[in-house]
Formats: sequence, C-alpha cells, structure tokens
Amino acid sequence: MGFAGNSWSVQRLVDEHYVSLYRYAYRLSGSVADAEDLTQEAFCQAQEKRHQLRDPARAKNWLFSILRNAYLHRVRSDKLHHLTLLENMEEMPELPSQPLPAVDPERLQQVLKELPEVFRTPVILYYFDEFSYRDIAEQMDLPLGTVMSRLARAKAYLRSRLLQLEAEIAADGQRRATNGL
Amino acid sequence: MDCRTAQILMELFRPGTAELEPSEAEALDRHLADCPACAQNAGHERQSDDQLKTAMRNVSIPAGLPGRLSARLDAMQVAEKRRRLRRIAGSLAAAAAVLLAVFLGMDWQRKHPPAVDLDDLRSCFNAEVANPSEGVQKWLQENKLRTPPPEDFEYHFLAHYYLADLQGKRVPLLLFVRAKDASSPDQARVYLLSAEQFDLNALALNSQDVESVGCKVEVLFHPTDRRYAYLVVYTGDSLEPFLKSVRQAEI
Repeated sequence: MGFAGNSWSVQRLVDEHYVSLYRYAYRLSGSVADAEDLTQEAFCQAQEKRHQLRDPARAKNWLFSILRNAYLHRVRSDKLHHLTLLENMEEMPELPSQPLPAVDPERLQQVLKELPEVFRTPVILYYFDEFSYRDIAEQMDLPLGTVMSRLARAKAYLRSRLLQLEAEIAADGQRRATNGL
Repeated sequence: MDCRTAQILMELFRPGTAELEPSEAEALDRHLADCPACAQNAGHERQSDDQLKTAMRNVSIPAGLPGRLSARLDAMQVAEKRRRLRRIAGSLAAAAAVLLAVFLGMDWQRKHPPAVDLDDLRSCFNAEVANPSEGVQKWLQENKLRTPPPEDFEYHFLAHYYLADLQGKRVPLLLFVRAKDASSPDQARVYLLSAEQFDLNALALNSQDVESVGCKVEVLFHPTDRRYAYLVVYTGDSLEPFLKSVRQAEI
C-alpha cells in the first residue's frame, strides 16, 4: 500500500474503510445525516493530515480516532444535542441470567444513546471486533484498566436494558392481544 | 481458579483474539469444564456478544456514499492545486514585476543619460584642492582600505591617487609631484602597504640594499602602528622636498 501522501492513497483509505467508518459514525451519533457528515469530515481531515500517518497498518485506528474527535468537537459545539446522562453509571448493573435473543438494530441504537459517550465508544469499538483493548485505550487516551471497567459496565447495561425493553414490548403486546379479545 | 476470577476473565476473553495470556485461557477452560454455573454464564456471555456484534454492525450504508466521499476528496485536491498555482503565479508575477521595473529603469537611463553636474564636479575639485589629505582619507574609506595615509607628506604636491598593482596585490598609491623647474619635476610614489599583504620587516631590510639607478627607495613606518608602512620610490636628491617641513619653510 503506497502512502506517498497523495489523494490516490487517501482514496484507497476510502475504499477500504468507508463502510466500517460510517457504521461507527452512525452508532456514535445515531443519525444518518450526522454519520455521513462525520465520515466526510474524517476523510477530509485524513487528506489534510496525510503526512501524519507513518504506519499504513494503523490507518484504520487513525481514521477512527479522527472521526471520534470530530464527533466530540461537534457535540461540544452543538448545544442542541443533549446526551442523556445516566446516573450511577459507576455502579455495575446486575448481569442478566439469560442470554440476549436477536437484537433489533434500531433498539440497540436507542439504548446506545442512553449511554454517555465515554461508555458508548468503547462498547461500539469492542463489537466492531478489529480493535483490541489496547487499540481502544489508545484511541480514547485512557489506561487499559479504565477501558476494561467501562466496557464491562456498558456491556452489562446494554444487555439489561435490551432484555428490559424486550420484556416491555412483550408485555405490551400481550395487553393489546387481551384487549383485542 | 474461583468463580469470581473466572467471571472477570470471561469479560476479557474474545474468541479469535489473544486478549488473555495462554496460561489464563487454559485456566479458564479448566474452570468452565468443572463449573456448570460459570460454563452456562460463559455460554450466555458469548451468545449475547454474538447478538450484539451482529446488531452493532447492522447499519445500512446510504446509497452513493463512496461516490460522494470520492467527489469531496477530488474537490479538495482541485482546490489545493489551485491554491498552490495561485501562490506560484503570485511569486512569478512579483518576480516579473521586479525584473520589468529594473529593465525599464535601465532602459530609461540608457535613453536619458544624466547631464554632467558641473557644480558637483567643481565643489569636489575645490574640496580636494583645499584639503587633499581629507580627499585621500575619504577615498581610502570608500574603498575599505585600512592603511592610513602618511601624515608627513605635503599633500599640496599630491597629483593623483589610485589602486596600483604591486606583485599581484592591489595597493593604494599616492603620486606626489614637485616641480623644481618646469622641465623636470620630481616625483614621489608612495605605496601604502600593510603587514597583511607584505613582510614589512624584510622590506625595511631589503630597501637598504637597493642601488639607486635613476630613483631612490625608502621605507617609512607608521609612527605608532608597525603594521603599516610606506614604500616611497622617488626622484631627486632626497625625500625632504616632499615632506611638510619644506612647505612650512617656504611659507
């Protein structure tokens, strides 16, 4: 992979990584429009800062890092976006005793939005699979222990809430069925 | 391994990755083989992870996205090239303007040669005649020549001064002319030498051995700085007519 610093090389980054980058952007922002803007911005910044990428093998980490920073900048400057901050995120939710059934992607997004970004990012990166815990710690500029702790809490939260939502939907369905009779 | 430790390691474990040390992974496997509760939890954990992973990646890519991304990059590259060309064009235009100004200036000068400033010429002449030694000092300074002019000579006899060639070196030369009669004036050529250019001590010794054939040679050192010397080649019986004391006597 040639990294002579020309737009052809950045074009190659686009070809190889736009899918995963867009998906990450969507999971972070929860909006199709924002996700596309963030993806565009990430590649544009990659074009401007292409001289900073010394190791082509780290291109994906680099791009994800650029995108996250762009997202954080946007969130800080856009006062219309409010993240719902959970109380007591420092406490470990109780691990459900049952596994998750198939998860609806939109419901997943709804629960992800409930998480503060510092918990949302590691869990998204975790499930994108190509990032090790060290990669996540490096991207977030956090100690490995902090990343592990936040990841454990975020995963437990996701499972609990998704199961709770499933139960609420099931109960709601049953009520409608009963009323229908 | 206890169940609490196993639960922590299960959090770290990801199939197909090397997040656990081999020894830790083996210990965990052994515990799961012996503990049905932890084995069940591990199964739930993996199943949940699989579901979450599938859902997390289940994001539709908007139609035409790669095309729009590439178009934006192309537009950036075009804009970048334009900016670079504008900078180059600006530099070239500035250089061309300077060259044109120089050329026009030279051409104008060629077509409009300056008139001779007679007043300036007259005032320079008068200044040099009035105070020739000052004229010599000014000339030496303008040419960045550090050798001071000799003070003992009578500068009213100064006829000319210029840079002469002496053994391949450019040295200041002062030409004094004194008419003892109209037909054969005496001359004294004073070469201003410095220790940087010549071995002045050897010069002083050697000059004593020069036989006088038509001219005489004397070496005079600067009264306070031995780095400077004056090599005088002159006609006449002695150098004294060229020196200040003679002039004062005449006055």
